[in-house]
Amino acid sequence: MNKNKKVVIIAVCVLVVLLAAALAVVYFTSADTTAGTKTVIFEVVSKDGTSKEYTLETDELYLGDALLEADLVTESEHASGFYTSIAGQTALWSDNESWWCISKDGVDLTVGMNEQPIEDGEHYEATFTSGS
Amino acid sequence: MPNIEPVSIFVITLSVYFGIQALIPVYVFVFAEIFLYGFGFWSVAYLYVWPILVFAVVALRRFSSTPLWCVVSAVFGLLFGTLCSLPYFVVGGWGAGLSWIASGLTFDLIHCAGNAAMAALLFKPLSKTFDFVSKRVCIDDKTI
Repeated sequence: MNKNKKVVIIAVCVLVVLLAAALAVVYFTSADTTAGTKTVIFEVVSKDGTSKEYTLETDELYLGDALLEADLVTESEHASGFYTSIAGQTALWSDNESWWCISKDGVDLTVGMNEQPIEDGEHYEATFTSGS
Repeated sequence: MPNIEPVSIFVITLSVYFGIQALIPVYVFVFAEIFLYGFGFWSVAYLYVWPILVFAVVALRRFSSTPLWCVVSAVFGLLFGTLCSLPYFVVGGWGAGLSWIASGLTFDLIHCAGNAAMAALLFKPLSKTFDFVSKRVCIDDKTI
């Protein structure tokens, strides 16, 4: 076997080991989802500080999917998982460094809305935020 | 799509043809990105992550082949998030760094697959282009 092939085989072995490790971490760190109908409150705090609560009754497993079902987010932004518009209000970084801070019971989420599993009775907030 | 990018195969092909001199266009790219998008944690990572790819390719280029660069590019894509996590370890400690890696792994898997596909598609055409350019302009990896 020539040297080039040996190097490729070694590289493939390294890739396979790394892939296995990555998939294992993804599997073991994924939060469990809950099947069945859930009632979740989604509170939107606007730029002017006013807030409105939306009650989501959904069979969806993740917050992003539930918001799409309720027409609170757009399909194109749901596909990317990067949301600038929520409940018809847009927060753009180019406009005074505005963004949506998503939290659950006041604690910032550590994953995106598309990866956040939902359970019955939970309360989420989307707060219009400016700056870091 | 996030993390589907041709930059990795461009850097790999530049490094195969021009060796360590590939660092010049790499840093032009890095500073252009910082100028366009502003400075952040990612900027610190970019200063060392892309040169790591250059050095790895320069070390392996005597075994150059499309399959090798597909695998190298895939490994780089898979490790990209981990390599970029260093500033988060420094600023936020082990918890911040490890959680940053774990939460980005799905994107790293996409990056891995995208890089492998890009290398399979683009290495040969890019090689022909760089071959043509380097012969016409008389540049090789001993120019500088």
